[in-house]
Amino acid sequence: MSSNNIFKFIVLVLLQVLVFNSININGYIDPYIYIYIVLVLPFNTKPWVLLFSSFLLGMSVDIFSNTTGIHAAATTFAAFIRPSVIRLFTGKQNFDTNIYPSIRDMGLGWFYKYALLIILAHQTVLFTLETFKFTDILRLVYRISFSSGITLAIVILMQYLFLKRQNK
Amino acid sequence: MRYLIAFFKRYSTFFLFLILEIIALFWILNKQAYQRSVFASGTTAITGSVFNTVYGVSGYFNLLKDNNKLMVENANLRKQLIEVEKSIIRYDTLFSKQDVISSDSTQYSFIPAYIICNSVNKANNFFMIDVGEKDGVTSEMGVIGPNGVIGIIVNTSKNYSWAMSLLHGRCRISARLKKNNMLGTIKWDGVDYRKGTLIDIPSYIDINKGDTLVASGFSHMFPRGTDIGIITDYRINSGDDMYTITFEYLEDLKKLNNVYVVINKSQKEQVKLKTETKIYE
Repeated sequence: MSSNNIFKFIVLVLLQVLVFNSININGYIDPYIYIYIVLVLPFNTKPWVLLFSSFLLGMSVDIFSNTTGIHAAATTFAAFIRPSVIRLFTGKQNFDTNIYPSIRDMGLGWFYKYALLIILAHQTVLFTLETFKFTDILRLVYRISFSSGITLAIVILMQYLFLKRQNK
Repeated sequence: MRYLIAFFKRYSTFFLFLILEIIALFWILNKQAYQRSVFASGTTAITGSVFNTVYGVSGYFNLLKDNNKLMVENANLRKQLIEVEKSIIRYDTLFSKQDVISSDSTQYSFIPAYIICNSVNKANNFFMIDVGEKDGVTSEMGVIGPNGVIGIIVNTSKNYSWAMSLLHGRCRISARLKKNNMLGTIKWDGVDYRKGTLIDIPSYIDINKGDTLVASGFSHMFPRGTDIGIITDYRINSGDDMYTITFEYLEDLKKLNNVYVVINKSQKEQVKLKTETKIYE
């Protein structure tokens, strides 16, 4: 990971545990925005780097939230399916080193589909492991879909914020 | 051999994924062991200092509100003090003053603390407070707010402690109805952060909305009679003729800042006696 990505990593973990962990709307919606870093790592990131950094990312959030391993498991899973999701929406092709999975390089439509699928996978694993029971499946489905929705909205908003800065 | 190496090379990403997931699952399944480990204590020290730094800034915004709350609490304590003094004078003719005071009031002492990190929206909620081992806090101690019970310490470092709040799936506290001393157990079913559930009360007991629940004092963590909640709803289970009682916590965990850790001087002795008696079960 480049120093820029390590900086993003630290900022996102702090943002998650200090700000977004205390945001809770309606008892259902918890935005987990730290997944942003898994979404925007360059296309040519080596698979093992992607997996390892995602595991570390999840582990850091776990430690700060006093949960045991649920964020690590969910984030590693999201990182594992990322290459397949990219192949699903773009076909097999080699990317230039200066092209990133972002709205600027790939367009809003592509990014929307790509982010939605990975965020959904992440939140599904996360909330399922957190509840660890399937007795209240309707509530689980509510939580996953609402939280994924709000996380996606914030991730796209963040993309536009970074986009603006990069254009200058 | 060559094929084997080729095989591992081809699926190396998948194997790495498997190993990482197994580590995570191992971590998930060994919650209790982890919370007792040295590693957990070390991470608590780090996260504690981060949360404490942030609280140092954000705490200022609540100062006025907190002050008012403390003033209300002070007023209530003053009122109770007068009542206690009155009752001591009443007993004075029967017992010496010393006997009355020494029995219950000196068994417990309280350490004031601030909540520096809190959550109410997870399936299992914890909060962190800014006192730790150096203040005499250890695991299994109770934590109360000005209005009632709020949690149990599960992990400590030198300066900070994590507590399992009432809003934790595995949090069970022994409670009783204030009006008739009937014993039950409270738990949280994970839906509403203001509402808890009381179980194990048989259906022949008379129950009304508005009844108060207090700590039984059997858990050695909370002084007998510490407030917990007010009954808002109840129904009788069809299977076992027991009530399922819904109550509202007296303490609003989302708004809480000032808390107290309960130190029970005879907790060690009580727990030891309890474990020794277990062999007769």
